[in-house]
Amino acid sequence: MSVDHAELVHFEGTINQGLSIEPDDWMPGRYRQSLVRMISQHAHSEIMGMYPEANWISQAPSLRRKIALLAKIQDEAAHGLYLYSAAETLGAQRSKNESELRNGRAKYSNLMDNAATSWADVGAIAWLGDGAGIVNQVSLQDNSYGPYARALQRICQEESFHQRQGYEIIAVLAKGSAAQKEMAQSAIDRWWIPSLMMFGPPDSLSSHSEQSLRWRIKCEPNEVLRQRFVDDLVPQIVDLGLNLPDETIKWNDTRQSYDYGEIDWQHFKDLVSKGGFQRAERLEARTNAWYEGAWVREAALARNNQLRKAS
Amino acid sequence: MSSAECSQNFFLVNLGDDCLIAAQRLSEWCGKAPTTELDIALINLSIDLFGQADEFYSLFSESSSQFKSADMLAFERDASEFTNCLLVEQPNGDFGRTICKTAIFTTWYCEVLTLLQESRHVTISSIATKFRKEILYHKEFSLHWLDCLGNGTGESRDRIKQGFSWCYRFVEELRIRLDFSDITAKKWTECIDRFECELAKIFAYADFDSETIAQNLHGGRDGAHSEHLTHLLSEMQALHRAHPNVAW
Repeated sequence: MSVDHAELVHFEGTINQGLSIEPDDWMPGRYRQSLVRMISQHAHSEIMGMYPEANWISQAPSLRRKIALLAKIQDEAAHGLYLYSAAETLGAQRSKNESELRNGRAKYSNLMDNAATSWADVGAIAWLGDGAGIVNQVSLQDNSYGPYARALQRICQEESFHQRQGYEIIAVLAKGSAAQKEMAQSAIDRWWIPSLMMFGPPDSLSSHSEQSLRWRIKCEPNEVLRQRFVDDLVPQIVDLGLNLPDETIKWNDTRQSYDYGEIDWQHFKDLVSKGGFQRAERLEARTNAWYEGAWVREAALARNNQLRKAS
Repeated sequence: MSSAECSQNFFLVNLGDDCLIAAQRLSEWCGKAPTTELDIALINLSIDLFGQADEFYSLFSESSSQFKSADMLAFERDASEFTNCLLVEQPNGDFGRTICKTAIFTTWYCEVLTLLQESRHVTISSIATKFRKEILYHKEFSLHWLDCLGNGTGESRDRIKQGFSWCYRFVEELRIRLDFSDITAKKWTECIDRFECELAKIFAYADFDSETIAQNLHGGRDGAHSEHLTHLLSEMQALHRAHPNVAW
């Protein structure tokens, strides 16, 4: 048995026993690569997730909503930082990851490229978007890479608060004036499909899924997670007196789940390759923040060097 | 608002307005800061100040016949009814100017809170104690960055000087005494003396000479604001005012 084969047997044995792989453990190149891709994309999505919501901080309609929204965005920025750190344990430098995000080479959740055009969108992003994220991330807490699994435990706790906050925004609007209810309905209609797309295409269309499941990089197939989300959300939407965003949604007695309409995966592929509606604005905002802050980072570094020399 | 309410409690609105407008400006940094760590830090300051505005306004609204809630005070008044100091409504400018503005405002505000801690009113003294802990961190944060930028590079030092030049025009207004029976003229003078002493230390970070600035602008406490406040409020209040008398 070659050394590499013996290492692989030990690696897969560790995973099969339900134990974690840690940064100093031997791991196959493809495992490292897949995790770097997945953790970095997650980190980028958290960072870019700040923008559609930040758009509404200045306009949030009450002091309580302003504070809650700021706290949520602050959590997202912090999640981005934990995840960049988790990626660094695999050798992926944060500076390189951030530069790939700015220059448009890195992927992040397409949801963040949608335009947040009403206050209800802030609720829908949190309720549906973060809700889809939670279903995915709760499942991923059992993934085999220790630093990512541990980061996800904290992230999931905070995301649950975000989702409840989003639900509350929509619930208040749904029970409010006719204009508020219309605002809530429009947001649900527009954010439903992007949220379902967050789980990715069916595993039959994905090139990474089979090995990812075997190595517990992901823990459940995309379709299973998406169905769980639909089954959770549909009764809640109905309960708020809002219309379902897809006319084909209906309860299936045989499957004990809701059937829902086909998702246009060609459109999804286009979004991944070309970017969504506000992609240019999101990347411009990130790039501007970086270049306009260059003099601050240079000064901090210079001051740090002076203090180090003096000590 | 009755004249009795004005004379007894109006300083709560002054301070609430200061906190609200400073918070709104700081929140504009979200996603634009030089690092993600600074995004998080600036959001923190903003959350604290929105929270403090909420408490000042809530306390005032308990005895107000016109403004029944903190949100009414924040979202249902026009610019001319706001009494914040002019300093906090100034646009953020670059990160350096924001740090200068934050350092000056928090230094002043910290001294005011120290004074209010001595109030005979238990509620006022206890919220002043709570708020002061938060604002001491804001001050520490801004002084840390003044040190970095004032001593960092030639460019950062120049930008800090420009930031102070912009902000210094509004310092005179901070000397106007807040109208509260617990704040005697003597105590206020001592408070401002301490503020000026601290201010001199702040300016020393970038060798800023305040005597080069001839303008002293004021009027904010009387509702005479710059054009900047109107823009800030029209964005902040638009949604709330478009749907009157609803819950959010």
